[in-house]
Amino acid sequence: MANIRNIKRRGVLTGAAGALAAGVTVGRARGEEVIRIGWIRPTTGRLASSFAPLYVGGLIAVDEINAAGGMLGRRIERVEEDDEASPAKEPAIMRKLQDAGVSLICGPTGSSQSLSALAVGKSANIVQAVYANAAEVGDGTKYPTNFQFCFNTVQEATIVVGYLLNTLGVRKIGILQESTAFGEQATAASRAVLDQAGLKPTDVQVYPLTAPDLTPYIANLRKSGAEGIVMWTANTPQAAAVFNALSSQQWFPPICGHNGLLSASLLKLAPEDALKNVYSIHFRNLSFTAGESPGPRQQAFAAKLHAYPEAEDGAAAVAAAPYYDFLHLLRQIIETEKSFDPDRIRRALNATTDYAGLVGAYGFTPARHTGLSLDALCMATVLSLKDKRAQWCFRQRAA
Amino acid sequence: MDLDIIPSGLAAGSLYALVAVGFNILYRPTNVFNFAQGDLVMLGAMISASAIAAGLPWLAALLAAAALVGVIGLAENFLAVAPIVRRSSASHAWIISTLAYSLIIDNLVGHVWGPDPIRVDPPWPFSVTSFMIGGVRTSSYQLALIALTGLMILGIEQFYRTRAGRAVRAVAEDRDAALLRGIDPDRLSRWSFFLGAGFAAMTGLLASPTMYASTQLGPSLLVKGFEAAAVGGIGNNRGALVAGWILGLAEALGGSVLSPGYQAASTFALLLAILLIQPRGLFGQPEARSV
Repeated sequence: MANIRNIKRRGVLTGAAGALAAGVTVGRARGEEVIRIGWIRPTTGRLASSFAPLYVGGLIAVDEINAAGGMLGRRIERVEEDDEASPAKEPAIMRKLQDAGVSLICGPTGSSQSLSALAVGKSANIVQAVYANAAEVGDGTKYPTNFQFCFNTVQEATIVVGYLLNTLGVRKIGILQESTAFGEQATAASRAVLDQAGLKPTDVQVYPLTAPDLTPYIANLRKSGAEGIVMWTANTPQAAAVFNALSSQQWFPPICGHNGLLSASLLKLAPEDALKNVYSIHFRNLSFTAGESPGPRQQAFAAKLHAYPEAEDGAAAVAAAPYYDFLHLLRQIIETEKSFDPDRIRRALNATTDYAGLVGAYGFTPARHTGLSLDALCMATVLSLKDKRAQWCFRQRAA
Repeated sequence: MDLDIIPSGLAAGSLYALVAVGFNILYRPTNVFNFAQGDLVMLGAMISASAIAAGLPWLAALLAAAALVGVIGLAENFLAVAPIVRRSSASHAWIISTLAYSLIIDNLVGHVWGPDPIRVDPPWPFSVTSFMIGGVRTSSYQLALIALTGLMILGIEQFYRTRAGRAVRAVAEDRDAALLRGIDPDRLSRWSFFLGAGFAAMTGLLASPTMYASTQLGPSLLVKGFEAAAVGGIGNNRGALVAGWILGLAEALGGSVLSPGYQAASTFALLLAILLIQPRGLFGQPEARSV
C-alpha cells in the first residue's frame, strides 16, 4: 500500500515537473489550447474606474496578437484578478495566480501596489510588467522578473526639469507636488537634476490630496520668486484647481510636469489662459510637429483607441501604459524561443536591445530593467489636444 | 501673513461645516454616524452636475439631486441601518454596513460617470473669478458660500425649535422616553436619513464650483466633515460651523506659513488640542441622566 502511495506521489510529481518544463502557463479553454496571462487590476473599489482605461492598450494588444494567430499558435486568455488597487491584496493575488500556473502577468498598476506584488513575483519566477513609475521598479538586481515598460520618475524629472532649465532658460524653479509617494519620488529626482546644475528650488510646496483650495500654495511659490514651476500631480481636479488659482492671480509662469497634465478634462476644467504655457512629458513616437507626424503603427493604435470611449480623457496616459508593448515583445520572444518557459523568456528579455515598441525603443540588461531611454521622451504642449492631429493620444512636441 | 487665506479658508471651512451638519441631521435622532455621508455628497455633486450640463437651472438641479439622493439615503436606512438597529439598538454594526453602502455608491458612480471630473459653474450672478476687496483677494462665490452656509445652519437651528424639531431633540435625548410620549423614533429616523442625504447632495453641488464634481469629492470631504462634527460637538450645528471655519482657516494658514509636511500635522495638532481641553467638542454638552 505504501509503495502504491509512493508511486502515485512520484507519478504526480513527475507529471507536475513535466508540466512545469512545458510551461504550465499554457492551458486549455473551450477545447482550444491557450496561453494564460495574469491581468491584475481593480474592478471594484475607489480606483476601479480611473484605472480601467490604463489596461486598454493591453486589451488592444491581446486582440492584435490573437488575430495574428496568438503566441506559438495559442490564443491569449486573460486571467483577471481584482486587486481593488490595494497593496495589501497583492501578495495573495500573486500567489493565487502562481498556484493557477500563470507565469506571465500584466499589472498591477500603481507604485505601492506594484512593489507589494513584486515581492512575491520574484520568488515565484513570474515574468511581469507592472505600471509603476518608481525608478526602483526598474532595478533588475532587485526585481529580476519585472520589466519596466514605462518611463520612471528619474527619467521624467530629467526631461521635465531639463526642459525648463535648458530650453526655456528658467533658473528660478519652484516645485509643486501632491503629497503622495509619486510626488515625493519625483520631487527628490527633480532636486537631484537641479543639484547637477548647481541650483536649488526656490520653494517646494506639498499639498494634500484633500486640499480644497490650492491658492495658498501657488501664492507661496510666487512669493519665493519662482519663474517656472515643476508640477508633480496625477490628479486632474487638483491640477485644474492649480490653474484656476494661477488664473485668478493672473500669474502664468511656464509649468512643466507629469503626463496627468495631458488629461482632456483639464481643458474643460481650467481656463485656457492658464494652460498656454504648460508642458507635459510625453513620447516622441506619440508627438507631432509642423513637419512630422506619428508613424503608421502609432496612427493605427490611435484609431483603435477610439473603440474605447473610456480611454478618451486620459488617452495620453493610456498610451503610456506598459501593457501594449510588453505583450507584443513577449510574443516576439516566445515565437523566437519557441517556448513559454519563464526562465527562457526572462533571459531573452534581458538580452533585448533596440526593440521597436509603440512608444519607443526598448532595451534591457540583467541589471537595467527600465526599457526606455531618454531619447524616447519629449515635452509636449498641453493645449495641442485641440489640434485635430491629436487624435486623443498625440500631442505637439514642444519647441 | 497673506490675508487672502481668510476667505479661502472660510469657504473651505463652510464646506466642512455643511458635511458635518449632514452628519448631525442624521445622528441626532438615530445615534448613527453615517460613513456613507461623503459618498452621498459626491453622488449629489455628480447628479446635479449632470443635470446642469443637461440644461436644468441650478436651483432645479439642486432640488432634483437632493430629492434623488434623499431617496438613496432612505434606502440606506432600510438596507444598512434599520435591520441592525431593530435587532439591537446598542449594536454598532452600522459602522460596517454604512461603510459597505459607501463602497457600493462609489463603485456605481464610477461605472456610471467614470473617473473624469465635471466642471460646474456657480449660479448667476456669482463667479469664481477673484477680485480684490480691502486688500484681500476673494471671489463672489466664496463670499456667497460663506454667507449661505451661515444662513442654512441658522435655518436648521430654527427648525429644531419647531414641534417636529423638538421631537428630534427628544429622541436624541432619550429614545424610550420619546416613544412613551407618542413620538415615533423609526419615522423620525427615516426622515432624518432622507433629509441628511438630501443635505449632503446640496453640499456636493455647493462644493462643485471650487472642487469639481468627481468621484474623489466624497472621500476628501468625509474626513474633514467628521473632524468638524467632532470638534464642534457631535450633534451641534453651530459648533460644526465654528469648527469647520477653524479647520478651514488652520489648513489655509498651515499651507501659507508652515513648511511642507507639517501642514496636515499642524491641523491635527490643533484639533487634538481642542479636544483635549473640550473632550465633547467646542459646543458639546455633557450628558446628564437621572436614575
